[in-house]
Amino acid sequence: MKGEREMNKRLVARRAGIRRLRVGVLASGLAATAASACDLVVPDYNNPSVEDLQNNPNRAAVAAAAQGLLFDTRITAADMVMWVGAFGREVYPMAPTGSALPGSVRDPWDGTLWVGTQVWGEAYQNIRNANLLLEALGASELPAGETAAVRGFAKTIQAYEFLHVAVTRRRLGAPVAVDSDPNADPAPIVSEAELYDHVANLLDDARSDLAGADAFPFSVPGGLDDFDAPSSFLALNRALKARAEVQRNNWPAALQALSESFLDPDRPLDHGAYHDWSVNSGDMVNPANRPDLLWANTRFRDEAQTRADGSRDLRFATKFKEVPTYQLLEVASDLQYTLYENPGDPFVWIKNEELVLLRAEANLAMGARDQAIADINLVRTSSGGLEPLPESYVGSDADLLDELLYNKRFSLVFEWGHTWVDMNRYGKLMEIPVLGPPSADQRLHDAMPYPLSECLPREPDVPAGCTTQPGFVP
Amino acid sequence: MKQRHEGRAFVLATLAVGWAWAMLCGAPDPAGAQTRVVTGSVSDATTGQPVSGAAVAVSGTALGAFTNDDGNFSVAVAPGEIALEVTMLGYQPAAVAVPAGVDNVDVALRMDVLNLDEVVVTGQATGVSRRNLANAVSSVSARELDRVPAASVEQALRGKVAGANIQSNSGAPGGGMQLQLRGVSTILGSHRPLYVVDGVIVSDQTIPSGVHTVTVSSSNPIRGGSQDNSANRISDLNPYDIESIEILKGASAAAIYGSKANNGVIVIRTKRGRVGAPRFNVTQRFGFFQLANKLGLREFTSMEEAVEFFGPQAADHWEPGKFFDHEELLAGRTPLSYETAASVSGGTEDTRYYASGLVKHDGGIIDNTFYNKESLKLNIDQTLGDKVSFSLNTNAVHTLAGRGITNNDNRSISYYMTLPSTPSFVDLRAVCGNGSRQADVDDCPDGQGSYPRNPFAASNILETASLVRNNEEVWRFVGSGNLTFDAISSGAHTLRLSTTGGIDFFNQKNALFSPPETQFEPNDGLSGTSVLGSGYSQYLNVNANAVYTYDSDAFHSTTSFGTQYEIRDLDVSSTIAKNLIGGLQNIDRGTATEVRQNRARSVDFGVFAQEEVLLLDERVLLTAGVRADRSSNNSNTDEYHFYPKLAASFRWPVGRAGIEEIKFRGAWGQSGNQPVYGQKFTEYEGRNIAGLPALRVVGTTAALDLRPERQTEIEGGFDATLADDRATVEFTYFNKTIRDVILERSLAPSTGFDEAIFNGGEINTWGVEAALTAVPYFTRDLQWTARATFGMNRSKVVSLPVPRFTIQGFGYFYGTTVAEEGRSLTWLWGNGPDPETGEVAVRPISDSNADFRVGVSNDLRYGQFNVFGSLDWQKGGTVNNLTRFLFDLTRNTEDCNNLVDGESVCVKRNREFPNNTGTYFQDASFVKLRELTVSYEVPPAMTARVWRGARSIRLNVSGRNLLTFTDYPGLDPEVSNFGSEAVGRGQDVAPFPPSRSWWFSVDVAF
Repeated sequence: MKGEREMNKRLVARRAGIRRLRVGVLASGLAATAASACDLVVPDYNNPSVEDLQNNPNRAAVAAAAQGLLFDTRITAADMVMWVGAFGREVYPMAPTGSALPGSVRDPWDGTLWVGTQVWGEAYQNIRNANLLLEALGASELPAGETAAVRGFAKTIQAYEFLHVAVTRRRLGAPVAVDSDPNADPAPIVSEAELYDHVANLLDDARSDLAGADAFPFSVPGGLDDFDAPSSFLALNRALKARAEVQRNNWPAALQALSESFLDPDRPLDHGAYHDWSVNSGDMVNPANRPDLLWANTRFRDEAQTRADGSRDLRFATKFKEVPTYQLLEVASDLQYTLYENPGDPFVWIKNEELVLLRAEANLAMGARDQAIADINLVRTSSGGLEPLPESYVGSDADLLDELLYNKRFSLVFEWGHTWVDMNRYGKLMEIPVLGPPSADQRLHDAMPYPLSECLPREPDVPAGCTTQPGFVP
Repeated sequence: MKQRHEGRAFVLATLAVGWAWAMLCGAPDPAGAQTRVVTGSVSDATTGQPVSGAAVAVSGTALGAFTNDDGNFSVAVAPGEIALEVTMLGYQPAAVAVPAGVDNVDVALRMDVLNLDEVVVTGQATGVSRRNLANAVSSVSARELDRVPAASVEQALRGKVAGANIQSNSGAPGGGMQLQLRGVSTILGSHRPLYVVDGVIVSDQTIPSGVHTVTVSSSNPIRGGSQDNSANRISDLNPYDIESIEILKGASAAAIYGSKANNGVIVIRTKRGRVGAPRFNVTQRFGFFQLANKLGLREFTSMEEAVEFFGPQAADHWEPGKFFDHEELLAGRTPLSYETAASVSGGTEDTRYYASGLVKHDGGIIDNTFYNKESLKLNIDQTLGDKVSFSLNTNAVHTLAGRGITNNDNRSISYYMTLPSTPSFVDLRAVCGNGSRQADVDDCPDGQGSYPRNPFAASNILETASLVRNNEEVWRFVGSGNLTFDAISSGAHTLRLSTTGGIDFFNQKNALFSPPETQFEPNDGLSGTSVLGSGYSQYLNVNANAVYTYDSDAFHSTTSFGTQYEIRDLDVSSTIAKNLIGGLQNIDRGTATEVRQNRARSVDFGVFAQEEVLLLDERVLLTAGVRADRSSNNSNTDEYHFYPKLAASFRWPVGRAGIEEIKFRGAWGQSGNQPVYGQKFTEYEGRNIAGLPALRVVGTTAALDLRPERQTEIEGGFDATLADDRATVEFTYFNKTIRDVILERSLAPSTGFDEAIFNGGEINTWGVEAALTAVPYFTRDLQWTARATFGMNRSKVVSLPVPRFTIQGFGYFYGTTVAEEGRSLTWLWGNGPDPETGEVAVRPISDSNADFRVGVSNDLRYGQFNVFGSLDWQKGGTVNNLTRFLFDLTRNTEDCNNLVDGESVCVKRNREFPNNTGTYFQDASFVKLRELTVSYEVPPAMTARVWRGARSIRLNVSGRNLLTFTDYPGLDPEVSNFGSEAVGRGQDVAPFPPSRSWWFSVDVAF
């Protein structure tokens, strides 16, 4: 019986043990549940972090960052095409909402208005992209020949973005030392001359890098097919250098750069580099594909020169189309562009035709009239279908300059805001034909202000680009 | 007894880990032997009607019963003198002494018209009687919510809560409202109050519809949807299921909800079953919506005038006297709307249930706009023995809304964005096969016809309304369970352990279809747009609480502590297909397709402890508590943030000069507002160029120590009971300071970034709230209850470590709200002349915040008739009427023919605008008749004859938003182009026009 009692005792003990165990298991289960609540880390599901590239600049990440520069630089170009195009009256964005021309060209022409935000933030964002990429390259394990290629590429894009800022801000200047802690004071504003020096230096640095490079460790979209290796990209770098040097009237340097560029009178004039757009998911469509918003200046029709058969300059016929009249306030237009009729149509980045005209411009400025006339005639005949200027052309240099500007205007219209950029440079802003009756509402401006957000952190010493730009009443 | 011991050990273990599964093994208490049975009845002291479902409890014991349909009860009690406590929602509780030897008592309950005896929530699992409450918590009960059909809960709350600013974002069917408590609490953080339904946190997310992909109101793929005019999802709740709503307005009351409580907490309790035979209630309503206001269009009196403003082509359309009221043609529909609401409740003392169903259709005033809702709800309460009870709440909802194409637009597609450039002399109606003209092509014979091109604008609004679909469909399930274990309930001590878990899941599907044949579609070179959006939201939360009470002669104390764990997931994706092959809606028919996805997940963990003590004959209440929170949204996910609170109230029995009692109360507390998911990351954006992957910085840099905003609120006031409990006056002053405000430091764009997110600065908001409730008459035949609420607040930026920045709007040129140190946060800024020098510069011009809000409601019952009306009055405030700016820009405003000094008034306004943005800042004061209802209750004697088996029949005529008195010249001063906003609303950009609704209904109870 003792045994049985023992057994019962043990049984009771065991039952109690099981109960304690049950309590314990439950308690520890609950404790575990509570403990699992301790780790509350949730990663970023939506995007890679900037640190990822800096910490692990592998081939794929470097390639994506390099390709990202091409994604962004076309956005700055789009600002040039549409908004600088509008300042030079190539194009009239006529939104009934009044968010664009002609309403918004009105006062105040300062950073509180949207004009100040154009060709600024996007340019500097891409400059930051390039700086982050250049920084990451330091830790990259890519071969030296490839890092040099990426460096040359990134600096070229950076220079191009600075050029955008330089041609739009002009006498107001802009900051260049922007590779700093974003939370620190904003970089100081430098003069126009220093800005162009910076552009030229970057392009020359890039040339050295590209010259010593093997191959791009990234891909380029179709618009850069002819510039997909460091050696050929160098020719694009020089073409951009030529555009920059012409901007600051440094004619010998411009001619030197042109000689190293892809300028080739024997190739089609539209040969060159292009900015691609597409309807692919995650890509962007051509922002100038806006038949509901964008009308052309009808004065092109009046200005177009006549061909031998009495018809208008071929460039007018191919780039413009007549549409029903649209009127907004005092502005009416019945012309639209045939350019960018499809959302995937590319922008011209820089093309052979511009290089020919840049050479003409430099030669004209240096007194080489014959070479200048030869280049102008190449464009007149092949692009415009016009008679060449006679060999015995007797017009003054000023006439020849007007002829050159006419050709630049028609050859490069709606491509980069060339009309405003060129006319401004020669002090001919007031010669830009304006639609509608002349009034203060139609005033023309020679420099774009800074965005308000650039000005506020600089208070109280606001630079000139932060104040209202008076402009000129036509 | 061993078993009992283990039960206790178990309880301790449970408490130790803050959980409460213990009740599964809880040991039942031996039931005492009862021999005596007390019976009785409970009736309404005023009407003499029996009160069913009242709880009759024997004081000091767990014994009790509920009254049946005839108001009778019977309860077994111990011999000797006992005391019965009779309680019933909506009545003042009664205590009745039953001497030994008396076995039958009749109790008459007085209606608690002033809600003095309702229990108001003070914590996750505790509450206190309103008589003692130390905070100004507003309560709204079912009978104030369901008089007139409402699309959403907020709509039904308008004008009834002091200190709440509740406004529609537009007139679109299906909701889209903002509920802001006590003014500004944040600038960039989350600005929605926390909604808690039956203990479960539910989502009030707004998921954009994707309209911006057609209207290009914004091209930003991430934040582009802010102008889509979408509904916030709290609108899914069925207002008829709500038993009561309690509104904790600030940190002093809501501290126990920690880092999610800065914008206040709205605690909703749904209806539950009552003991007794099943009770059916059926309400059938029919009604319609009707355009409530129009802008008017300019009439052109001569051909020259028409051509001057609309170009040479105007000559083809203008004829003398030709005038088309485009607004009426667009929004003049009054389709039949209906609503069927049914519920059944009942049960035994062990099992009670409440089930309801709702089917609703609101017809829209514009073609293809509507709102449908179907809802099913089941609540079950079950007791297991006398210590354990559980409840289960489930709610399944389906809603479908057609929302139309409204708000800002950059392509002239949204209705009121197109009207400015559409003259009144052009006929936009469809041309039918037989040559007749119809506003809706479906009204043509055989539906054959087509819309003419609008030669003056990119789109024909009648065509857009007829052909474009913008449908938002939601399936939602909200479920929760609660398990309660009364571990100790002996005499002076009680210990209750409870755990509540719940899930709120919904899927929102947006289907936007803009077919290729519309006039505007070919404009982007890609004819036809189809957007299929999907949003999955999942909120999961679990909390566990232990509440210990101790009663002595000197005091009553309630000690509680608990934990809360919560996960919130949101996954929003959309596919935008353009250039639709064959014009089909399927997204795989587009030749150009864009896919977007954005995910968010937040995980929070919190613990709290709270002590409440009632002293001095329940005259003094002292409360102290603290909550500690961690969240995945903070940079440091391991750090606890502490939110303490203190509150006290003292009831002073005045007893003279008509004043019964004055309660003085004061409270202090802190709460937080978490960063939004993603704010703590510095990201690259992953895009592609011609199929090649591309990385680019996206403008925002991360903060390394991002943490919740912290609000410290102090609140004080008094509640007075007057005239023999016939009136109450409440007055409250609050002052809250928000520190560690989440700010975006706007970086100079030359840095390559737009902004850096960080904590800093300080905002202060103070205000005053008052409420008056009175029962001037309360007799058997005539009962009149009047309520009035008053609220006002002022906010300013005390310190701001960044230069002034714009908050919301279209920039200074068009008018915007601005944060600047030392200034009010709610002012609209723009260009304006200095009052003295006349120099034009950017300056604050007008306050968008109302001077004050007043709500007045009256409920008058005379015999079988009942009249209820509620008024909502906003004094002051500003709306930026950009819609008018657009009409002025094209000289198409109704008043353009009026001249001032020979100049058209609209030309004058437009001319002055660049130098005075305030030209279009307009006074938003209004008085609205929100609700009006007249009902007739069929006399009981006749009821059975009219409808066999019916207990009561009520006939009802009612209306919502019937009248609006305002000087505002736009469509409606209640408007917000950007939807809900933390600071300032009132950007009027082509909103959905407002409507009023009329209803006739029959309520039958069985």
